[in-house]
Amino acid sequence: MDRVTGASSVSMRDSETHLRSILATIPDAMVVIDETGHILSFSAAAERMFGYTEEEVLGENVSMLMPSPDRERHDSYLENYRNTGDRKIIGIGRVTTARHRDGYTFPIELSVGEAWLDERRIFTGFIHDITQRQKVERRLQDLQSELAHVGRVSEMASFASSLAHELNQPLTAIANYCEAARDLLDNGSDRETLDTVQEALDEASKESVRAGQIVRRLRNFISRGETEQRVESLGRLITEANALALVGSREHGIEVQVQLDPDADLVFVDRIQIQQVLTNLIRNAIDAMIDSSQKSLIIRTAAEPQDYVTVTVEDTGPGISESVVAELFQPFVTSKSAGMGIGLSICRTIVESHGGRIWFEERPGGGTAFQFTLPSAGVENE
Amino acid sequence: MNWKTVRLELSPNVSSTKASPSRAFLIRVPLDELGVIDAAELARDPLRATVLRTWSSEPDQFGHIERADGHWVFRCSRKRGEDVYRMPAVPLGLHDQVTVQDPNGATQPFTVASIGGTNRSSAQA
Repeated sequence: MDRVTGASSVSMRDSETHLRSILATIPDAMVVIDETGHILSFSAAAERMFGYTEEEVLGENVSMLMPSPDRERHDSYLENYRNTGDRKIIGIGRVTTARHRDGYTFPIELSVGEAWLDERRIFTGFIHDITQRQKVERRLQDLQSELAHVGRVSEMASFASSLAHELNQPLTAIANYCEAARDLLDNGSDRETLDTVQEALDEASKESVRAGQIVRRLRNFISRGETEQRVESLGRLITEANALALVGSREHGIEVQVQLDPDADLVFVDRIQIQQVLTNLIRNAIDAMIDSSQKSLIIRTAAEPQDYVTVTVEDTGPGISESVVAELFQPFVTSKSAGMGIGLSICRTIVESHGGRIWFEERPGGGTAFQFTLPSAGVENE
Repeated sequence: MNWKTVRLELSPNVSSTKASPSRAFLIRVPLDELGVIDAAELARDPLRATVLRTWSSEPDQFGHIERADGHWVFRCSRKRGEDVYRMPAVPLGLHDQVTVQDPNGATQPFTVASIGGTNRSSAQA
């Protein structure tokens, strides 16, 4: 019996050594916590990724590895799971943001598994730093955008030409009818003349309706891409968009604050489109602050009356040049030397297609706050 | 100028015999060659002197650093109002200990855990 127990013990030790050697070499960080969130194990990759040694963090709350708002909410996430068994991340995984010891945040892909050891429940998090992947994906996107830009310009030129042609007809007709009506009135105002003027104005009216139909058709044509609007967590959209938008900005030393109003969390939106808006505004804010001595980015949500929420992306950059203020949301208007000037016009199109509006305000201490509204989907019942 | 990001971590104290990196301040300040915060340089660019308070399970707090009554004052914004911490004007060398007075007047020892250049270590994005 003793021999069996001894062999088993050696075998277990071997397995553990083997497992530890595997964990020491994989690039993904592994963090094991107990059910109250305190760190039980911190792999070598985690030490490299976060800048702490295992000895320093054992027994600490794992929330120290997260920026706000996850930092202050993580304990309640665990409590909620313990009480309800409702899985928000375990076995699902998600893209989110982590905080290094040096203070900067970086995008990660987090997968969490659950296990029972004797009577103890533990959670194992595998953390993959996706900074590099996002950089490559962004570069590919940029290249594709540049290529697509050439195509778009030529497509838009031909589109504008046919639109001009189509609109020219009703507009010319309207002008002709109006001129004819004016000439008729110059020559007298008897009953017959007035009837003819009436006819001319009726025709002008019909032509203006036709011009409106052409414009509507154009709008339908442009927005015929299918959108998938559903109830989404605005906090999660912001966390993901923020993680992706901040890739490559570490060296600029930007302080990022995310202030989420719990009453403004659920929105009825197309996730991809709203993340495009958020990413665009965050990237613009970062670009605006490159040369500023104070570099503070604040992303804030707030519940508004009448079932709307407001999202604010605020920077401490130099503000917006007066020459572009009036047309800022128009396509091809930009203050960037390398910008195409379509980002904000796309943002406006997306926000308005959700029934919201977008605007900006100058901050009192300098900088700009872009704000947009979205339809609220109520508040989640805990 | 020599702007640095200094990380202050909670040292062992009466309530815990273990240092805790989960309670830290990251301050961005100009340091002279002795490691003292350069008040004149800071006064030239006060908005650049920032503090980030990262305490586990509590919201991150951001703010600015000011000189007052011979101390350095960390004005950390929270949801409503601000928390004010005070640190004496002492040299900040790696592994040095400093005491920080919290908003309730209690003092706690912190250790200078790292001093980094502003281009890398201070980056909080």
